[in-house]
Amino acid sequence: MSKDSREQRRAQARAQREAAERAAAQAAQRRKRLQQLGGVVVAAVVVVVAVVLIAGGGGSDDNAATDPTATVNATAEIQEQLDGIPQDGFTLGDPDAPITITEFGDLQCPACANFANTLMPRIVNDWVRTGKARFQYRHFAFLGEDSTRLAQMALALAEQDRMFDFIELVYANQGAENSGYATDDYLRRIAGAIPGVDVERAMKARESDAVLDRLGEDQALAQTNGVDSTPTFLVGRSGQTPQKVGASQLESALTQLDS
Amino acid sequence: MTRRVAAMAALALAGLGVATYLTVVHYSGGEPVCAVGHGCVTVQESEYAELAGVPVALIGLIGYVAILASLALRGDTGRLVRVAMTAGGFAFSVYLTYLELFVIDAICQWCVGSAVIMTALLALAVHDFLHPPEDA
Repeated sequence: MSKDSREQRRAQARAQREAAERAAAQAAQRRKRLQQLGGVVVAAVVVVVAVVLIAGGGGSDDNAATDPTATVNATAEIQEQLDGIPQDGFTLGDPDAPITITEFGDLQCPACANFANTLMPRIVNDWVRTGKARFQYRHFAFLGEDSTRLAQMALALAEQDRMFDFIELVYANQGAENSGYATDDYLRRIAGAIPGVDVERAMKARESDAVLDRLGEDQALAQTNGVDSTPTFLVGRSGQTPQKVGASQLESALTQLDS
Repeated sequence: MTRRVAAMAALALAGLGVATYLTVVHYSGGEPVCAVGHGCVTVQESEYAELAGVPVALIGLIGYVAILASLALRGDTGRLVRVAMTAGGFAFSVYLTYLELFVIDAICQWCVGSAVIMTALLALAVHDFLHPPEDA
């Protein structure tokens, strides 16, 4: 009896000791795992930070837009592209053309600049110059402060019927987004590259009610039409409901309307 | 395949789909389909869309493929490798989301989707490492 109970006690003590050892081992194991986890996570983060810093995401904005002495790019090409085509405010081309193309653009938007520098010359030559379509530009200035400043200057130049020269030149001389590049110097330099423009008159007109109202109308029109990216185009024949397309579908949509 | 590995595989495949789509769009010069907002083109065409000349979307694609491949690794080494890779992916996603919010000022849902997937992958990988299945 007493022997049995002694053995029982011993077995109990052994079981307790083993349980305590197991618990201690588990705790040690958990600590080790947490340390390993911390080490690996920190190492991974350090590697990513180093790569990002070395590869220099973004880079410097060493382009012509921020250098006040730089010459304005593509002035000759753009003059040639628009030469002899009537401009009236925000409309380019024959006001009675059967097809209307409306672009919603932000002058800061890289995709819009890409369109202006690649597809736009073809649209102007094949559709606007031939009198098949008129091209309207509406300002959907949403990217930031520079967008608004550029749009206001463009609309001020619309009063001199030179908005399209300005738009195309801005796209050809676009700066880094929201870098504050659309300074008064920049606006004067771009507008000054357009023949026959009264730059100071436009600089003054930027804050006029006419320009601000016009900008408000453009933005409202973009919202009414559910424009959610730039450039977005509305194309249609007069009297018909226009169709909303992106830059890549613009030419095929025009061909369809013309057939 | 355990349930947790299956879950990670599903998430990594979803991430791979997003990254593949954005890589294709990047190289074709097309416009990403954007459900709401107007950020996708802005983000894709911003100067931050490439890191040292490599499109960010392609970096994501390679990352997801690597995570998928790591699912074949067994034991604690495999678990630790997955933690390292998803932590790296998570840190990169944090950097990209910061750029979208504070530098580019535009949000691209595809990028947000990828960041969410990567966060879930990191959570699963950490859980899998701290609480390995009994049979391991």
